[in-house]
Amino acid sequence: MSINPAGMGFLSRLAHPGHFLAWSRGWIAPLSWIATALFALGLWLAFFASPEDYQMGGTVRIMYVHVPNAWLAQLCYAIMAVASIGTLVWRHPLAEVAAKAAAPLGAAFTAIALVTGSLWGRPTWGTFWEWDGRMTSTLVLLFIYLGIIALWRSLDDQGRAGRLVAVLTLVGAINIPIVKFSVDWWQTLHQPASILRAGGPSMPFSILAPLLTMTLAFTFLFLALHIVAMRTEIVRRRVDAMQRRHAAELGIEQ
Amino acid sequence: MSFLGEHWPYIAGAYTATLAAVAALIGWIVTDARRQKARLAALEAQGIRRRSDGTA
Repeated sequence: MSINPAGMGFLSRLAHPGHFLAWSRGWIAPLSWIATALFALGLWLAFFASPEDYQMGGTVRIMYVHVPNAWLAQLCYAIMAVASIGTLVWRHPLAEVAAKAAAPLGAAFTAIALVTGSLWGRPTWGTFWEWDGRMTSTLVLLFIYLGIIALWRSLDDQGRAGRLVAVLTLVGAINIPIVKFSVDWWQTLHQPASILRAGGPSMPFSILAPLLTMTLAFTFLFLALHIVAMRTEIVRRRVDAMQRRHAAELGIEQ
Repeated sequence: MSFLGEHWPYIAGAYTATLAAVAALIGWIVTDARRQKARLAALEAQGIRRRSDGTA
Protein backbone atom coordinates (compact mmCIF):
# COMPACT_ATOMS: atom_id res chain seq x y z
CA MET A 1 0.00 0.00 0.00
CA SER A 2 1.61 3.25 -1.09
CA ILE A 3 -0.63 5.68 0.79
CA ASN A 4 1.30 8.02 3.05
CA PRO A 5 -0.68 8.41 6.33
CA ALA A 6 1.13 11.62 7.22
CA GLY A 7 -0.43 13.40 4.27
CA MET A 8 -4.00 12.32 4.91
CA GLY A 9 -6.85 13.77 6.91
CA PHE A 10 -7.77 12.48 10.36
CA LEU A 11 -10.57 10.17 9.20
CA SER A 12 -8.54 8.86 6.28
CA ARG A 13 -5.70 8.16 8.67
CA LEU A 14 -8.01 6.22 11.00
CA ALA A 15 -9.28 4.23 8.01
CA HIS A 16 -5.84 3.37 6.70
CA PRO A 17 -5.55 -0.44 7.16
CA GLY A 18 -2.23 -0.14 9.00
CA HIS A 19 -3.60 2.47 11.39
CA PHE A 20 -6.83 0.50 11.77
CA LEU A 21 -4.82 -2.52 12.93
CA ALA A 22 -3.09 -0.31 15.50
CA TRP A 23 -6.03 1.55 17.00
CA SER A 24 -8.65 -1.20 16.79
CA ARG A 25 -6.64 -3.64 18.92
CA GLY A 26 -7.55 -1.77 22.10
CA TRP A 27 -11.27 -1.86 21.35
CA ILE A 28 -11.81 -5.64 21.22
CA ALA A 29 -11.55 -6.42 24.95
CA PRO A 30 -13.72 -3.48 26.18
CA LEU A 31 -16.42 -4.24 23.59
CA SER A 32 -16.36 -7.93 24.54
CA TRP A 33 -16.61 -7.18 28.27
CA ILE A 34 -19.47 -4.72 27.74
CA ALA A 35 -21.28 -7.33 25.62
CA THR A 36 -20.75 -10.00 28.31
CA ALA A 37 -22.07 -7.73 31.08
CA LEU A 38 -25.08 -6.74 28.99
CA PHE A 39 -25.82 -10.41 28.19
CA ALA A 40 -25.71 -11.28 31.90
CA LEU A 41 -28.07 -8.42 32.75
CA GLY A 42 -30.32 -9.05 29.76
CA LEU A 43 -30.70 -12.78 30.48
CA TRP A 44 -31.46 -12.08 34.13
CA LEU A 45 -34.10 -9.55 33.13
CA ALA A 46 -35.48 -11.93 30.48
CA PHE A 47 -35.88 -14.96 32.72
CA PHE A 48 -36.27 -13.63 36.26
CA ALA A 49 -37.39 -10.01 36.23
CA SER A 50 -39.89 -9.66 33.39
CA PRO A 51 -43.51 -10.81 33.29
CA GLU A 52 -45.22 -13.01 30.73
CA ASP A 53 -46.98 -11.10 27.98
CA TYR A 54 -50.76 -11.02 28.24
CA GLN A 55 -51.09 -12.38 24.67
CA MET A 56 -47.85 -14.30 24.04
CA GLY A 57 -47.43 -15.74 27.51
CA GLY A 58 -43.93 -17.13 28.19
CA THR A 59 -42.98 -17.11 24.51
CA VAL A 60 -42.34 -13.37 24.80
CA ARG A 61 -38.90 -14.48 26.05
CA ILE A 62 -38.09 -15.70 22.53
CA MET A 63 -38.46 -12.07 21.41
CA TYR A 64 -35.41 -11.19 23.52
CA VAL A 65 -33.18 -13.15 21.11
CA HIS A 66 -35.30 -12.87 17.95
CA VAL A 67 -35.61 -9.06 17.77
CA PRO A 68 -31.88 -8.28 18.37
CA ASN A 69 -30.86 -10.72 15.63
CA ALA A 70 -33.47 -9.37 13.21
CA TRP A 71 -32.12 -5.84 13.93
CA LEU A 72 -28.52 -6.94 13.33
CA ALA A 73 -29.50 -8.75 10.12
CA GLN A 74 -30.52 -5.35 8.73
CA LEU A 75 -27.73 -3.33 10.40
CA CYS A 76 -25.04 -5.61 8.92
CA TYR A 77 -26.51 -5.14 5.48
CA ALA A 78 -26.70 -1.36 5.93
CA ILE A 79 -23.00 -1.34 6.90
CA MET A 80 -22.18 -3.44 3.83
CA ALA A 81 -24.16 -1.07 1.60
CA VAL A 82 -22.31 2.01 2.95
CA ALA A 83 -18.99 0.16 2.62
CA SER A 84 -19.90 -0.76 -0.97
CA ILE A 85 -20.27 2.93 -1.80
CA GLY A 86 -16.82 3.46 -0.27
CA THR A 87 -15.47 0.65 -2.44
CA LEU A 88 -17.00 1.86 -5.70
CA VAL A 89 -16.55 5.62 -5.24
CA TRP A 90 -13.26 5.91 -3.33
CA ARG A 91 -11.88 2.38 -3.83
CA HIS A 92 -10.98 2.42 -0.18
CA PRO A 93 -9.36 -0.86 0.89
CA LEU A 94 -10.83 -0.71 4.41
CA ALA A 95 -14.35 -0.33 2.98
CA GLU A 96 -13.83 -3.57 1.07
CA VAL A 97 -12.52 -5.26 4.19
CA ALA A 98 -15.45 -4.00 6.29
CA ALA A 99 -17.98 -5.29 3.75
CA LYS A 100 -16.35 -8.70 3.46
CA ALA A 101 -16.04 -9.13 7.23
CA ALA A 102 -19.70 -8.17 7.85
CA ALA A 103 -21.23 -10.68 5.40
CA PRO A 104 -20.85 -13.92 7.43
CA LEU A 105 -21.96 -12.07 10.57
CA GLY A 106 -25.07 -10.78 8.81
CA ALA A 107 -25.84 -14.25 7.45
CA ALA A 108 -25.55 -15.78 10.92
CA PHE A 109 -27.77 -13.14 12.55
CA THR A 110 -30.36 -13.52 9.78
CA ALA A 111 -30.40 -17.31 10.19
CA ILE A 112 -30.83 -16.95 13.96
CA ALA A 113 -33.69 -14.47 13.43
CA LEU A 114 -35.43 -16.90 11.07
CA VAL A 115 -35.03 -19.93 13.37
CA THR A 116 -36.10 -18.12 16.55
CA GLY A 117 -38.99 -16.50 14.67
CA SER A 118 -40.19 -19.93 13.56
CA LEU A 119 -39.91 -21.28 17.10
CA TRP A 120 -41.96 -18.32 18.33
CA GLY A 121 -44.53 -18.67 15.53
CA ARG A 122 -45.45 -22.30 16.20
CA PRO A 123 -47.02 -21.79 19.66
CA THR A 124 -48.26 -18.27 18.85
CA TRP A 125 -49.63 -18.57 15.30
CA GLY A 126 -49.88 -22.36 15.08
CA THR A 127 -47.29 -22.60 12.29
CA PHE A 128 -43.51 -22.60 11.98
CA TRP A 129 -43.61 -20.77 8.66
CA GLU A 130 -45.90 -18.56 6.62
CA TRP A 131 -45.00 -17.06 3.24
CA ASP A 132 -45.86 -13.53 4.34
CA GLY A 133 -43.98 -10.33 3.46
CA ARG A 134 -41.71 -10.08 6.51
CA MET A 135 -40.67 -13.73 6.67
CA THR A 136 -40.21 -14.13 2.91
CA SER A 137 -38.16 -10.92 2.56
CA THR A 138 -35.99 -11.99 5.51
CA LEU A 139 -35.40 -15.37 3.84
CA VAL A 140 -34.46 -13.50 0.65
CA LEU A 141 -32.03 -11.43 2.76
CA LEU A 142 -30.36 -14.67 3.93
CA PHE A 143 -30.02 -15.85 0.31
CA ILE A 144 -28.48 -12.47 -0.65
CA TYR A 145 -25.95 -12.81 2.18
CA LEU A 146 -25.08 -16.35 1.05
CA GLY A 147 -24.72 -15.19 -2.57
CA ILE A 148 -22.38 -12.39 -1.49
CA ILE A 149 -20.24 -14.80 0.58
CA ALA A 150 -20.11 -17.22 -2.38
CA LEU A 151 -19.02 -14.41 -4.73
CA TRP A 152 -16.24 -13.32 -2.35
CA ARG A 153 -14.97 -16.90 -2.22
CA SER A 154 -15.26 -17.63 -5.93
CA LEU A 155 -12.70 -15.05 -7.11
CA ASP A 156 -8.99 -15.04 -6.26
CA ASP A 157 -8.63 -11.38 -7.30
CA GLN A 158 -10.12 -9.76 -4.18
CA GLY A 159 -10.06 -6.29 -5.74
CA ARG A 160 -12.27 -7.45 -8.61
CA ALA A 161 -14.42 -9.50 -6.22
CA GLY A 162 -14.83 -6.42 -4.03
CA ARG A 163 -16.18 -4.31 -6.89
CA LEU A 164 -18.56 -7.06 -8.09
CA VAL A 165 -19.77 -7.70 -4.53
CA ALA A 166 -20.26 -3.95 -4.01
CA VAL A 167 -22.57 -3.77 -7.04
CA LEU A 168 -24.47 -6.88 -5.92
CA THR A 169 -24.76 -5.49 -2.37
CA LEU A 170 -26.18 -2.18 -3.58
CA VAL A 171 -28.69 -3.97 -5.85
CA GLY A 172 -29.68 -6.23 -2.94
CA ALA A 173 -30.11 -3.20 -0.64
CA ILE A 174 -33.57 -2.72 -2.17
CA ASN A 175 -34.62 -5.65 0.03
CA ILE A 176 -33.89 -3.80 3.31
CA PRO A 177 -36.81 -1.32 3.12
CA ILE A 178 -38.97 -4.25 1.97
CA VAL A 179 -38.04 -6.18 5.14
CA LYS A 180 -38.64 -3.10 7.29
CA PHE A 181 -41.92 -1.91 5.80
CA SER A 182 -43.40 -5.25 4.67
CA VAL A 183 -45.58 -5.32 7.79
CA ASP A 184 -47.07 -1.94 6.83
CA TRP A 185 -47.38 -2.54 3.07
CA TRP A 186 -49.06 -5.96 3.16
CA GLN A 187 -51.49 -7.87 5.33
CA THR A 188 -49.20 -10.21 7.24
CA LEU A 189 -49.21 -12.56 10.21
CA HIS A 190 -46.20 -10.67 11.53
CA GLN A 191 -47.11 -7.86 13.90
CA PRO A 192 -46.29 -4.25 12.90
CA ALA A 193 -43.31 -2.33 14.32
CA SER A 194 -43.55 -2.08 18.10
CA ILE A 195 -40.26 -0.35 19.08
CA LEU A 196 -39.15 2.01 16.28
CA ARG A 197 -42.54 3.59 15.58
CA ALA A 198 -44.22 6.98 15.72
CA GLY A 199 -45.52 7.51 19.25
CA GLY A 200 -42.78 5.42 20.88
CA PRO A 201 -42.63 1.74 21.85
CA SER A 202 -45.97 -0.02 22.28
CA MET A 203 -44.93 -2.23 25.18
CA PRO A 204 -44.51 -1.86 28.93
CA PHE A 205 -41.08 -1.01 30.36
CA SER A 206 -40.85 -4.45 32.04
CA ILE A 207 -40.70 -6.07 28.59
CA LEU A 208 -38.90 -3.21 26.82
CA ALA A 209 -36.00 -3.29 29.33
CA PRO A 210 -34.81 -6.89 28.60
CA LEU A 211 -35.47 -6.37 24.89
CA LEU A 212 -33.29 -3.25 24.68
CA THR A 213 -30.61 -4.74 26.95
CA MET A 214 -30.34 -7.88 24.81
CA THR A 215 -30.34 -5.74 21.65
CA LEU A 216 -27.44 -3.70 23.02
CA ALA A 217 -25.63 -6.90 24.08
CA PHE A 218 -25.89 -8.43 20.60
CA THR A 219 -24.86 -5.10 19.02
CA PHE A 220 -21.70 -4.90 21.14
CA LEU A 221 -21.00 -8.56 20.31
CA PHE A 222 -21.33 -7.73 16.62
CA LEU A 223 -18.97 -4.73 16.94
CA ALA A 224 -16.31 -6.85 18.68
CA LEU A 225 -16.61 -9.69 16.14
CA HIS A 226 -16.63 -7.30 13.20
CA ILE A 227 -13.40 -5.65 14.34
CA VAL A 228 -11.72 -9.04 14.84
CA ALA A 229 -12.94 -10.25 11.42
CA MET A 230 -11.73 -7.02 9.75
CA ARG A 231 -8.30 -7.32 11.36
CA THR A 232 -8.11 -10.95 10.21
CA GLU A 233 -9.03 -9.98 6.65
CA ILE A 234 -6.30 -7.31 6.58
CA VAL A 235 -3.73 -9.86 7.79
CA ARG A 236 -4.99 -12.42 5.21
CA ARG A 237 -4.50 -9.88 2.40
CA ARG A 238 -1.02 -8.99 3.64
CA VAL A 239 -0.03 -12.65 3.79
CA ASP A 240 -1.42 -13.31 0.30
CA ALA A 241 0.45 -10.26 -1.06
CA MET A 242 3.68 -11.36 0.62
CA GLN A 243 3.33 -14.87 -0.83
CA ARG A 244 2.65 -13.50 -4.32
CA ARG A 245 5.63 -11.16 -4.12
CA HIS A 246 7.90 -13.91 -2.81
CA ALA A 247 6.74 -16.27 -5.57
CA ALA A 248 7.37 -13.54 -8.16
CA GLU A 249 10.87 -12.98 -6.82
CA LEU A 250 11.57 -16.69 -7.12
CA GLY A 251 10.14 -16.64 -10.64
CA ILE A 252 7.25 -18.95 -9.81
CA GLU A 253 4.13 -18.52 -11.94
CA GLN A 254 0.93 -18.36 -9.81
CA MET B 1 -38.39 -25.64 33.12
CA SER B 2 -41.91 -25.24 34.48
CA PHE B 3 -41.25 -21.58 35.31
CA LEU B 4 -41.09 -20.93 31.55
CA GLY B 5 -44.69 -22.07 31.09
CA GLU B 6 -46.29 -24.67 28.84
CA HIS B 7 -44.30 -23.57 25.76
CA TRP B 8 -40.90 -24.08 27.41
CA PRO B 9 -39.58 -26.43 24.66
CA TYR B 10 -39.88 -23.60 22.10
CA ILE B 11 -38.21 -21.11 24.44
CA ALA B 12 -35.41 -23.54 25.30
CA GLY B 13 -35.02 -24.41 21.61
CA ALA B 14 -34.72 -20.74 20.60
CA TYR B 15 -32.06 -19.98 23.23
CA THR B 16 -30.16 -23.22 22.51
CA ALA B 17 -30.13 -22.52 18.76
CA THR B 18 -28.98 -18.94 19.36
CA LEU B 19 -26.23 -20.03 21.77
CA ALA B 20 -25.02 -22.73 19.35
CA ALA B 21 -24.95 -20.34 16.39
CA VAL B 22 -23.19 -17.54 18.31
CA ALA B 23 -20.65 -20.00 19.78
CA ALA B 24 -19.94 -21.40 16.30
CA LEU B 25 -19.57 -17.85 14.91
CA ILE B 26 -17.15 -16.80 17.66
CA GLY B 27 -15.20 -20.07 17.30
CA TRP B 28 -14.87 -19.65 13.54
CA ILE B 29 -13.77 -16.00 13.77
CA VAL B 30 -11.21 -16.68 16.51
CA THR B 31 -9.84 -19.76 14.68
CA ASP B 32 -9.55 -17.83 11.41
CA ALA B 33 -7.74 -14.97 13.19
CA ARG B 34 -5.23 -17.40 14.73
CA ARG B 35 -4.71 -19.18 11.40
CA GLN B 36 -3.90 -15.93 9.57
CA LYS B 37 -1.55 -14.77 12.33
CA ALA B 38 0.22 -18.15 12.16
CA ARG B 39 0.57 -17.80 8.34
CA LEU B 40 2.06 -14.31 8.80
CA ALA B 41 4.44 -15.52 11.50
CA ALA B 42 5.56 -18.44 9.30
CA LEU B 43 6.38 -16.11 6.41
CA GLU B 44 8.25 -13.69 8.67
CA ALA B 45 10.20 -16.59 10.14
CA GLN B 46 11.38 -17.36 6.58
CA GLY B 47 12.60 -13.78 6.30
CA ILE B 48 9.82 -12.74 3.94
CA ARG B 49 8.72 -9.17 4.62
CA ARG B 50 6.12 -6.80 3.23
CA ARG B 51 7.24 -4.44 0.47
CA SER B 52 6.61 -1.45 2.78
CA ASP B 53 9.04 -2.96 5.33
CA GLY B 54 11.71 -2.68 2.66
CA THR B 55 13.79 -5.54 3.99
CA ALA B 56 12.81 -8.53 1.89
